[in-house]
Amino acid sequence: MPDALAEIDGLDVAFASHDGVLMPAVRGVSLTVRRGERLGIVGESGSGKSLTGRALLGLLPPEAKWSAKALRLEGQDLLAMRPKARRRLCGTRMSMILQDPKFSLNPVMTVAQQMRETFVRQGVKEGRRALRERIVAALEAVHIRDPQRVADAYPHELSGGMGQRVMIAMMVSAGPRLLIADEPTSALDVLVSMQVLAVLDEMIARHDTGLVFISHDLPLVMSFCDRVAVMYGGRVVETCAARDLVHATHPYTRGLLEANPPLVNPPDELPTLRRDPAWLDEGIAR
Amino acid sequence: MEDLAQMKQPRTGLRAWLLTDTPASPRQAALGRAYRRWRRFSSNPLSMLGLAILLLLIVVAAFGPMLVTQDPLQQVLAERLTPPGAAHWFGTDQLGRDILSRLVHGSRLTLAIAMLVVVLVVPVGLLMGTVAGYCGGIVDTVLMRLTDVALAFPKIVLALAFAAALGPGVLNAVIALSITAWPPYARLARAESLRLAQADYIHVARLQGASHLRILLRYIVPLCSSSVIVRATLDMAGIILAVAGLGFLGLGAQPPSPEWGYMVAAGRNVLLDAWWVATIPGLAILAVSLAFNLLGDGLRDVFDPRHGG
Amino acid sequence: MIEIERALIRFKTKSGHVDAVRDVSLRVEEGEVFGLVGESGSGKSTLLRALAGLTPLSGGRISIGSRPGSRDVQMVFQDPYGALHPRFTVDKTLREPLAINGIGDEDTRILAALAEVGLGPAYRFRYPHQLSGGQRQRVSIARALIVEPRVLLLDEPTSALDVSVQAEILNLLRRLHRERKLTMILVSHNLAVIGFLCQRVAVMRNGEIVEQLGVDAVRSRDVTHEYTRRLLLATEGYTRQNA
Repeated sequence: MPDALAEIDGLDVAFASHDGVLMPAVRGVSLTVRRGERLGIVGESGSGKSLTGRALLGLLPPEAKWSAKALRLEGQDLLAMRPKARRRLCGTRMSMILQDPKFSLNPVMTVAQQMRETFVRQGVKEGRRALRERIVAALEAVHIRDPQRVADAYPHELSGGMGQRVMIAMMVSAGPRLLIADEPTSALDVLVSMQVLAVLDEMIARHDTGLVFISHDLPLVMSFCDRVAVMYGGRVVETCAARDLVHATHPYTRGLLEANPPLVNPPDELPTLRRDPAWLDEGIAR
Repeated sequence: MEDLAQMKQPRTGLRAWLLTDTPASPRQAALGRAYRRWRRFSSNPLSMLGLAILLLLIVVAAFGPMLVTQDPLQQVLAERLTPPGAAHWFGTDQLGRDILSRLVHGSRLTLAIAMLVVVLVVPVGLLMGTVAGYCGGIVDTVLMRLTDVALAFPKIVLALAFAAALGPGVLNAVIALSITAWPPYARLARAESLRLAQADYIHVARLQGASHLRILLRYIVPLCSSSVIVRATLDMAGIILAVAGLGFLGLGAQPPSPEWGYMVAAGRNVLLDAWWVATIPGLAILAVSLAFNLLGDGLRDVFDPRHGG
Repeated sequence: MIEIERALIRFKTKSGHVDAVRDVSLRVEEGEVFGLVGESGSGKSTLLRALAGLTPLSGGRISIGSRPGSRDVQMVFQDPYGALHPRFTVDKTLREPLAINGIGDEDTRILAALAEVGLGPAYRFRYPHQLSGGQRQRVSIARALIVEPRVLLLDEPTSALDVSVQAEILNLLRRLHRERKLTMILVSHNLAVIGFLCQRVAVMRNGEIVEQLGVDAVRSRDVTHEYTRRLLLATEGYTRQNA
C-alpha cells in the first residue's frame, strides 16, 4: 500500500504457561495505518490489543513468543532491521504513551530531567539553556499553565491529567510519524480525559502524526478516531470507519455497542453479550 | 480470557478430578489446590533435591538407629582413627567409635533441634506480628519494642549465659536460640498484616459482625503463615549451623552425645591426619542446611501470590 | 430511611487537615436507589464508607433506620481482586457471614445465594483466583445479600469490569433491587451507570454536594449547576476540534 504509514501483517503472539503449553494471545492480526490517520483498536481485557500495539514498537515482554509475516513503518521492514536501528526509531519516528503516568514516568527524575533525556535521545543537540527553553515550550504547547514549576516537579507531585500531558509533551513534541496510545485516558477522570484528549488532538493534528488508539471504551474511540478495529480473542473481528460503526454487523461489535447503558431512554434490561465460541476461529483482516 | 483457557486438552482420571475447574466439595477444592502447588514445586529440580535430602534425613532418623549394628558410644581403643573401609564405612574417631553409627544416631538430634525451634519460634512470632499489625497503635508499639529487645540479644552470648546459669546441653542451647530467633518472624508477620488489614474483605467481615479475634485468627493469620513458613525453612539451615556452632564451642551437646557439631569439634585436632572424623559430620551438616535452603526457595515460588498462593 | 445531616469528615495531615466531606446533607427513602456521582477526590466514596461505619464522622449526624446490632447495612466494593479472601473458597466466603450471625441452613442458603446472582453450583468450591472479575463481583454481591440486609452500599461496583460484564452486573443489581426491595446507594463516576439504576442523584465535587436532582431531570438536561452540565456533556464522548 503506497501511502501506508505502518503495516502489521499476520502478527502472532503467544505465551508459554507454566506447564509449557503455548497460549496464543494475538492470532494472525493484520492492520494498516495511513499517514495522519487515527486508527482505534478496541477490545476487552485479554483481547490482545495492547500486545498488538507494542509489537510494532518491539516492546513485547521477553517471555512473549511472536512472529509476523510483515511489520513495516513508512515502508521500512522492521523485522529485517537490526535491533539497534529499530530502537533508534522508537521515540523519534514512532512513540508511545501509556495508561498511568505514575508508572510510566521515572519517579526519581524531575520532569525536566526526563524530557531532557528524551530530547537528547531524539537527536536534539543544544546547550543546557536552549534545551530548557525547549522543555518549557513543549509544556506550554500541551497547555500546562505553570510550565516552569511543572518542569522542576517530580511525577508524584503531578495530577493524573498533568502527568499525561507531560507524557504527550515528551512523546509527541518531536513530531513522530506514528503514535501508539495505550489506554491514555483510562486512569483519568472523565472531565480531565476530555482535556487530555483535546491536547492530544491538537498535537497530532499539528504534526500530522498517525495514531493508534488502544482502548476498551468503544464510544470514546468512535468519537476520537477515523477508523476502528474491534478485537476479540486475539483476532480482529471487524474493521470499519468510525462513523459506520453504529451500523456494525459483527455480533460482538453490536454486543459491545449495546452493552453501554444509554443515558437517554435506557432499556429495562441491558442486552448482554452471548459469546459465541465460533468468534474465536474467524477473523476478518483488512 | 476464559474462552481461550478452555481450549486446553482434556484430562482423565485422578488428575482430572484434582485439576477440575468445578470442584464439588471443600475437600476436592483443597486437594486440588494442594496438587497444583505440588506440581509447581515438583517442576523445580533443585527443590526436589532439597526435599529428597530431607526425606532421607527423616528416614535415617526414624529407622537408622535400628539398622546400624555398631553402638555409637562404644569405645574400641584398638580401632582408633581407622580410615573409612569395609568394617567402618565412615571410619572411627579418636576413641574408636564408629562414625557412621554416630552420624545416624545424631541425625535424630539434628531433626529434633530443627523441629523444636520451629515449633517454639514460629507461632510466637506469627501471633505477635499479626496482633501488632492488625491492632496498630499502642499495642503495635509495645509489641514491636519487645521485639526490638529480643532482636538486640546476640545469640552466642545468650547461649553462654544460659549455659552458665542452667548448665550446658542441647535443650538449653535450643531455648537460647529460640529466644533470639523469633523477632524476624514477628516483623515479617507484622508487615504482612499491616497490608492485609486494609483489604476490602476484612472491611466486609467487620460489616458482617466478625469479631476482631475471628478476623485475626481466621482471616489474617492464614495469609501471613505462608511467608513465615518459607522464612522458617530458610532459617532452618542457620539454626542447625548455630546449634552445631554451639556444639563446637562446647555449649550445646555434651560428650559423648553424637551431635554433629560436637563431632566436628571433636575431630578438629586430627583434621590433617584423620580427615574423616571432622569432615564427614561437616558434610552432613552442609547437606541438610543446603536441603533446607532449596526447600525454602521452592516453597517461596509455590506460595507466590501471582499463582493464587 | 437514611438521613445525613451536615456531615463532615476530616482527616489530619502533616500540615493541618483536609476535609474529604464538607457539610453534606441528604435523605434517602426506603426502597430508593440513590446515586452519588463525582470525580476522584469528590468525597463520594468517603461518604459511603462513613455510612457503612468504616470511617468515623468528624461532625454532623448520620442516621440509618436499621435495627441496632443488625447486619442491615452491607457493602460491595470496587476492586473485584481485593474483594474476596484469597484462601477461602466461594462456599467458605458465603458461609462466614452465616456462621458469624448464627444463621442456620447454610447449604440451602449458600446455593440459593449463588443462584440469585447467576452462578451455578459449579462455582461453589472455587478459589478466587479461579474466578473472573465479573464472577468475583457476583460473589461479593451474594455475600452482601446472604444476611438479608435492608441497605446495600455499592462503591463503583462495575468500574473495574469490561463493559459487557458491567452490563450483566447492572442487570443483576436492577433485578435484585426489584425483587428484594432494597434501599441502595450507588457511587460511580459514570453518569450513564447512575442513570440506569438510580432514581435520584447527588453530584459531588471537592467534598460538597453541588446539586441534587432526579435522574429524569438529568436525562432531559434540566440541570442547574455548570459542573453537572459538564459531566453530562462528557458522557457523549469527545467532540473533535479538527475533523
